[in-house]
Amino acid sequence: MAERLALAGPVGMDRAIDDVLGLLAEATGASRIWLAEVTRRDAIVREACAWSPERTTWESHDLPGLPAASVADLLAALDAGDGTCTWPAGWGGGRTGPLLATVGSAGWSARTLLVAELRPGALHRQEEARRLFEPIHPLLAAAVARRQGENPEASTCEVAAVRHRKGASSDAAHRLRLTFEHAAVGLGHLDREGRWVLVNERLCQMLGRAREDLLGHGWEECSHPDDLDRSRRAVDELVAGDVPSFSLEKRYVRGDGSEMWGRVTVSAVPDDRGAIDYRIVALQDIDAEQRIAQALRASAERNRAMREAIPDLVFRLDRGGVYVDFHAPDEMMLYTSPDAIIGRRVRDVLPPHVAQLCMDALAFVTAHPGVLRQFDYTLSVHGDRERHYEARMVASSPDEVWAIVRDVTTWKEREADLMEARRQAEVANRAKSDFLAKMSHELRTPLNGVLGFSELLEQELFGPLNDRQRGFVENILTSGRHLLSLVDDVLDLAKVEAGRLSMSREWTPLSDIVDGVWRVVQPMADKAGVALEARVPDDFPAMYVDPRRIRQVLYNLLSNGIKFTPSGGWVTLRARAEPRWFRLEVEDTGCGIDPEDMPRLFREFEQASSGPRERPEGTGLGLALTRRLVTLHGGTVDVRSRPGEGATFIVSLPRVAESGEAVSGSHVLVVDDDVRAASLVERLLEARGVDTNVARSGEEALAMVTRSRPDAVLVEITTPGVQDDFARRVAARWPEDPVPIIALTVADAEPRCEALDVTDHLVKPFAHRELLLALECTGACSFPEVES
Amino acid sequence: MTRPRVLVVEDNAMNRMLVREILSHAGFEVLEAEDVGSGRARLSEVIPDAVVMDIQLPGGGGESLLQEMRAAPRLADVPVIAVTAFAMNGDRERFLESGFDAYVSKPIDTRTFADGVRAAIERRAPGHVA
Repeated sequence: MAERLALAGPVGMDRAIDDVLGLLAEATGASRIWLAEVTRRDAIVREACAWSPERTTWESHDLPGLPAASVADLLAALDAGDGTCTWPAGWGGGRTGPLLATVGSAGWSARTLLVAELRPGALHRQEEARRLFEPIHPLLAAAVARRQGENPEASTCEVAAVRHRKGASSDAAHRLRLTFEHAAVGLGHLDREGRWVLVNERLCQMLGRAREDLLGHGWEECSHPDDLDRSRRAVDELVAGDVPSFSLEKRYVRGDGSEMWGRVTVSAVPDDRGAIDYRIVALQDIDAEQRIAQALRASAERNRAMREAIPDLVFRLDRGGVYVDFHAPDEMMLYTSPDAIIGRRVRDVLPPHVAQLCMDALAFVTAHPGVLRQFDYTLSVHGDRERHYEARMVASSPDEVWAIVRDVTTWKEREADLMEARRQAEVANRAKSDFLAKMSHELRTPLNGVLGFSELLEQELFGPLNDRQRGFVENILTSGRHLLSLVDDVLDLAKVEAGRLSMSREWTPLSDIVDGVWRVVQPMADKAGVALEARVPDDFPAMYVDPRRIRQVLYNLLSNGIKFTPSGGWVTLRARAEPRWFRLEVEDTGCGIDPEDMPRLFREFEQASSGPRERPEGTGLGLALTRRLVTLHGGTVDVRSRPGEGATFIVSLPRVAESGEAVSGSHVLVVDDDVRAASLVERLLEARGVDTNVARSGEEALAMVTRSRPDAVLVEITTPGVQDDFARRVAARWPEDPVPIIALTVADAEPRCEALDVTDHLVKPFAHRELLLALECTGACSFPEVES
Repeated sequence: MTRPRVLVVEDNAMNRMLVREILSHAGFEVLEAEDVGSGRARLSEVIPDAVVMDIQLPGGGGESLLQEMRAAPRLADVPVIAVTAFAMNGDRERFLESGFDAYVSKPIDTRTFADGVRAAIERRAPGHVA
């Protein structure tokens, strides 16, 4: 307290000075006000203290940076004027000169130097400062005089009066300051040199810097280096007076080094002489919009690139069929000149048949938002040959559609070529089958003579033969019969291939078939020294087969087994009746089959050649034909063998009940109004021993389901009368034992399957195997040969 | 008992000879014709007890000759046995339906052929109960 300025004195006495200084601080925005007593004689600051409006307390301080000589000059300057001036050089490094005033009369030995430490940029003009000081000055003088006992009348009442008088403008200034400080945009002032002299809080935030780091620093420091030139040019124009203000979108570098996009508006405030005194800077953060704009630009760029890459013609049309825009990878693809499209109607651009298709599609897609419409047409462009086009149209908005037109000529032509090639291949294949059939017929006639006369000789009807002659005749007969079997096999294969092998199924006891075969193969086995055994249970049920074909099958397998079994071995036929299958197994103790030969086993004219002994005589047709005959019965032929350990061929034939139904009771209902598609599925399933009914509509199907429960329903979902609740209605008929439902559908109708709530669905075209597997998965049927 | 007379219509000389040998050995009198024309000519001269006919004959085919015979009252009851190299399933039924009495596919079984012809004649004989 000892160091406390005398001027400050006891609190009660200083009340007037406090009020005056408060008024001053309020008017000028000073952050601190310094008071110093300066001796007139030596112009030395004896004592100083600082007063701040926040605290309204005195703190004793040295008045920094005031050399005596400067103070003397100052006092002279103040005396010469009206008692106020701004500090000419700077205050402790500050760039804006503080406001100075002196109080005291000429007769005093000491004067009070009043230094208002203004916020940078708070006051800009000398006159302004003076205006502010004017009403305060006498009050202050009075307060000081009172303090010194010279003018005791000066009182706080006067101060209050002045405050009242100043109130209005002071409030406005205060509000202005508040507005400045709390504005949501960054605001600041730059001095003539482009240094920040005033910044608001928002600007500091935006630029990510503290106030102190901005004040006194040039604007360039925050500017992005890449945008500096641009900014400087704008500033130059402003400074040159070419423009009163400018606006720029540019990048700033924040305190932490990150970038920010801002829209800056700079306006110049001229001084009395018309030169720029300072510049007002308003900065908006447009980082977010800039990012969106950039994303939009990038997206537009990507779209453009994508469209460029599309080999198709793309048209935008309004709902009236007027071209809005188009894209053509090559203008030669366009039907008309590119200039004669936009703004014109489809009917005026395209020939009538194409325009009609186009307008029909347009009407459809505008009525069905989100649904794609495809149409095909042919068109001759620029007098060239007719080309094929595939157009897709979809509405992009209620008022606009997109049409994407693809030239599919190459595909169409390739498809036609393929169809033609296929047709030719089929013709060739038929010709081959016809030729084989004819040849084998032709061969039978001479064979008739060969075999017939040999038999006559063998029967010695016309005189005895000697042993040698008898041997020769036997050789002729053996060779002739072999040739005949070859001819028969070729004929059968040709018939199977041509689809002409008709089946005449009948209920046949297996023993009948076996007896017939045995008469032929027993002598072969005897001759080869091979034991032949048939293990057919007495109660083996009758089979619904073509007996002649199954006889052929067993003959082929048995004679094969005998052929490949060395003398002393045996060949066994076993028959088993399983719930759904008849299994006929032919096992031999022959040389077995090399695994490498397995894949070739059932192919025409291929014989296992790598056996341990030389290739026995045979046509190589037997197994191929065998498999085909079994397949015709809906069955399969499998083989198990290891080299040297014999082989077992297993024929599986589906069991069919007396009524013609599969023994398992497998009964599938096919719901499809497409007769061809339905009969295809029907044939496939019946070949597998599955009883099949066909319903042509949803209603018919439900009626049939009501009468008897099928093991599964195959439903083509576009069949008339198949509603979304079809599956639920089927389920409702048999609540105790739900019927599995498999939907058959084309690819784009898949979503509807979800709505239908079916067990499974197959997308057309599906492989037969897929259908069989799907049926098996539902548990409705069993197809042992179908592997998953 | 007179030897039954059989007309063999067959264009292939070798097969005609085979049938002749089998049938003569079995006690038939065998008449021969190598095509439809000569067959028709022989039939205008004699009424055989049976005709053995190859289906694939030059000059019209065996089936046309059969139709002519069935249309002619004096020949309508002569049994006709078809011999053919056709071995298609269903051929037998087709031939029997078209009016042949029997069907034998080539190559013929030399042991049973003559019996087959005899059986066909007996089925047509008066008093035979079908």
